[in-house]
Amino acid sequence: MSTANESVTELLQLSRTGDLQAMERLLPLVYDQLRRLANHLMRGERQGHTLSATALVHEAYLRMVSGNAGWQDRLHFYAVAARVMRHVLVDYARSQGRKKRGSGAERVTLDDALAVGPELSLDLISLDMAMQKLAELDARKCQIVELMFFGGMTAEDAAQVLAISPATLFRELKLAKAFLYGKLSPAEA
Amino acid sequence: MANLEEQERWLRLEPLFHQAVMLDAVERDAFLDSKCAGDEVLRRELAILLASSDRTLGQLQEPIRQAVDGLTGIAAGQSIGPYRVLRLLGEGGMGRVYLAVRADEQYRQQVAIKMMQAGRMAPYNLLARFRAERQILADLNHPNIARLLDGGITPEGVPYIVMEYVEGVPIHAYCRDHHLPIAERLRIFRDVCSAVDYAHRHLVVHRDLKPANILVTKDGVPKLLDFGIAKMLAQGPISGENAPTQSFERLLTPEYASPEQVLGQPVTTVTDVYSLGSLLYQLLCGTPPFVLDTRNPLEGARLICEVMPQPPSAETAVHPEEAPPDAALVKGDLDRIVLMALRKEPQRRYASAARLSEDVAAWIQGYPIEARAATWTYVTRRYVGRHRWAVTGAVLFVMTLIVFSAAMGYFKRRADHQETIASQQASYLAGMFRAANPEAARGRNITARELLDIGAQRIEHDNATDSEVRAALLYNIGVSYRSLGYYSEAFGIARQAYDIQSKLYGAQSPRAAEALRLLASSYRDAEKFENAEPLFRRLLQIRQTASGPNSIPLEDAYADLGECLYLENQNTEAETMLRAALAIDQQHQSATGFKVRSYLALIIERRDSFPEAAQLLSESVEIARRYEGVDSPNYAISLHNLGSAQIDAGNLAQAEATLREVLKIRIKVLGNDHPDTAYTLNNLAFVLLEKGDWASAMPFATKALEICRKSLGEKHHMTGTTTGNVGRALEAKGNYREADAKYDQALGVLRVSDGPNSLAVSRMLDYKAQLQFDQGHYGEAESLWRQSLDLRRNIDAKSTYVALSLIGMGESRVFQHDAASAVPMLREALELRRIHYAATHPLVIAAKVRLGEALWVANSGEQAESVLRDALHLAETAPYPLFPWQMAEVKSALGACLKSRGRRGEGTQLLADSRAELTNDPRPIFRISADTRYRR
Repeated sequence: MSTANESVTELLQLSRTGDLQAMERLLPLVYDQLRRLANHLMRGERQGHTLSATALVHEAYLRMVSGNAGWQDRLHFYAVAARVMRHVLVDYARSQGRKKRGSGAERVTLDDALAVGPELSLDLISLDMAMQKLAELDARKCQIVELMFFGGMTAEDAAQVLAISPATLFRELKLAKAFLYGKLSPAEA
Repeated sequence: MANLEEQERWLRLEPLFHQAVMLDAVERDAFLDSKCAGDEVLRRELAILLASSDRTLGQLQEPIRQAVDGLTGIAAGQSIGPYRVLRLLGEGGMGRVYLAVRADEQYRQQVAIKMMQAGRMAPYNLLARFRAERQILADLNHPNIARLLDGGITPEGVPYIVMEYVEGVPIHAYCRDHHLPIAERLRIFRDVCSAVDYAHRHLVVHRDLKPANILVTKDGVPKLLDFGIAKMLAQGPISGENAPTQSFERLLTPEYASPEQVLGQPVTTVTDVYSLGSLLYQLLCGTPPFVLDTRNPLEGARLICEVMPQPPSAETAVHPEEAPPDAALVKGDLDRIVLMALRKEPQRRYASAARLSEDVAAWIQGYPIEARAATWTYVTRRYVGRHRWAVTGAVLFVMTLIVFSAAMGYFKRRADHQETIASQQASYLAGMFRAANPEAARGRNITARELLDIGAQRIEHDNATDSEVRAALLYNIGVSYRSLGYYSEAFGIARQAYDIQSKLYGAQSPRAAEALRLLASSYRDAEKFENAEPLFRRLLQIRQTASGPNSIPLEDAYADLGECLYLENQNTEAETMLRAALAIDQQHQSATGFKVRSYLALIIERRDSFPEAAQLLSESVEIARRYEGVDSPNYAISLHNLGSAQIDAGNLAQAEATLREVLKIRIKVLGNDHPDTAYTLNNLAFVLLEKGDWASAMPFATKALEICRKSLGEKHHMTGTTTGNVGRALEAKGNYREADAKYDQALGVLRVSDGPNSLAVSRMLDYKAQLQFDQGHYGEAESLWRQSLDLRRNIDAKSTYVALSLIGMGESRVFQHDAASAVPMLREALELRRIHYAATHPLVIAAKVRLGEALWVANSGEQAESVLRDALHLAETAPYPLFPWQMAEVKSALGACLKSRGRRGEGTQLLADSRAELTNDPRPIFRISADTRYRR
């Protein structure tokens, strides 16, 4: 096991016990790792990629966290990675938007997209903005969404991370979901 | 940052939301009115939240999926090879599946493209192997298998395959959503079995059968996806280092994995039988046999390898909404069938998907099932257990099944005291399969044919093998050759087996008789009747002395000889033999009863005994369906015969429908290139030509010819006959010169295959004559018909064939202005046809029309009118409606006759009717004939 991996594990353990500095050092490490993974996938350097946000996070975990990390550390890593994953993906979505404009294609705004079809057709940037709005009102609900959507966590695991009961989690998720849909629906836009 | 007001509102909002969510729409309004009185903002926000409270998470996650797609994969609008991606269909352990269209073609066919996870493939020679596999899969052509259309490798090196896009739902969901009762579920399941069995016979094993891979279309047709693809993903052939847990993790859905897959042992066709068992289990009770905890793979592996699941009938209450409404019927035999398919030891399961399917069919029909026959299974298990040879892969095992199951059938009868021979034979077979190891063959695909050739070759050069074993082996190889349609190889091998058996046990012994029967049957199938007939006679003699008076072997011997005689057109003696067989069959109803009835019906029907013939034929079709199922070759044979009978009865429309059904079955069961398929294609072409539909006939005739050339050889009778039918289609199209060339070619073949004075040659002369006639060369036509008449009179002066030549000659005479000499010829033709056919038969009506025409041209107007009026009356009252062109002939002849006899009104009307009947006839010669024929 490389020293880098051991340090990630250590940082995880420290950050879990409330060490904010550890968290700050951890985030860029995870971010780099996820970006590198995604880049490899894009260039087709690594065949046999597993292709979902969950899989990416899982893959990053396998690479970064040493075998002696405990189960709590694993959950915590996923929580960190979910945050990071969200940034990676939103960055990517932004870069795609620029690419589209740069190449002369017309930019589809949220309003346009909503006007076209009766079905909700949203992009990641709008979702991210709605999640930010949710976080301002209720940080935990946003975190539930983040853990489950970007970290690929099960409801049970997410409840563990947040130290709430699964029943509470489901209740909060229901409201969070309704909030996001509300923010992203044509009426609101 | 949200302001204080917003924060405060959110805190008030949350408990209200959770209360309101529990209410229905009307109650919600009242609730909001009371709780948000005076706070419109709160009310509006709450309403918005409630409006989307029922939505699922899926849509919110969609942009995330898209971003991941974009980052790591393929997005809509991108191209993969010549295909343009429309959207992602799904994601599985093997990779992603996209919906795409072919971009560079005129037609926009929607396809599913599966991107392989290359990392999961064996690194060794990856691409070459991928291409080879792709070819095998591309050859799978079955209505219940999603077709593999294309495949390639992206510039990034990721292999992909392009498959037929199936719109459907997974089989268990389909059964659940439609509340299908057991019988319907079993029907769909048997379709699945037939697809799996078909693939096995094409040396392809699925390896990953599970509900998600079996979609049912809205018409209730199951389609199997991903055939053989799992194999591409598996490790290379040298895979000893796979630990059990690795194998376990490799499987996406361990619920449906077999013990051998979990243990990393060779995967064979019987592995698919296990998965079919799991599927059937789930269809019958609504839950898979094992529900595994993915977090504990070792425990899962142990369950799969060691624990027998509860019988499905015990699990119907777990998910009652998934179980069939009549789940109470599962208990008993269906339990046994499922558990037999799910046995841990591959060799104790059903030997093939077909056997499993047959047992399910037996249950449906209320017959005893195989899963109960414990003794036989026990024998097999004991036997195979002692000879666990190294079968390296699926290909080998499929072949083992073909030859080995024949061998097993043989052993079964003799298992009690023949174990030594059995084991020797088995090790010999093992050697044979080792010799055919794909690696030894440098990666080529071994065909069944090649494998048999290897076996035959080895045994000829192998002096060490005990002659008793030799005989048994030769016999089994012979059976396999015959069942694959390689007749000349079959009788070579069968003769050797027979010689050895006669020497060892005596020529009268049952074993020698068995080999004798194989030999004779191979000759008969190859249409070498002169060789087959004496052998069948000898077989009958042996059985008459050695077997009981009412025994099945004796019935078989009568039936075999009767069939052979029938094929030789010796109808009288054939009928005697077949009636003897029928008498035995009526005592105990054996499965061969269908054949006896079929042939007997054909003979009787020639005597114009339609009711008895029809009775026998429908009995035979029913017996075959009941005993062997609609996918069985024998069902196809009985239907094929029904089709022939319908042709003879003049019921061409029904014959066409019957033959199309036969064709469907034969293609499905025997494949595209089997001689039996060619027979059906040929008959179908014949019917369509008689109908006047040459455009439809052409592809059938050409395909039949192609198969005959390939599988029977250039010099075979059938190759000659089908060449003639291609000629007839060309002629009907108006290509006279090409047609004539085909007839000459056919004549060349038939003069050798059937002899220069044969019926087949005379038929080709007819075709040539008709061609001359159509071009107005009446003299040439007459002389050709004269030749065919002479041949036919020599063979049988009273046959309907003689009538055919007479009609041709007579007509040529009429057109050469010698109607008077034509009249007696046409009278004779009519009389001959009346001997063989009913008065309303189209052939009799046609003969009447010709006679009436001749009488009219010969100035016997009154007689002509009476004959033609009679013909029209018969045509209008015929049990099977005549085709338009036939009706047109009758009407135009009578119309012209009446007009010349002064009844202009009636005559003109009939002629107009006649032209109307012909407006849609595609044949140029017929469009003009009605007008030109009677202009004189």
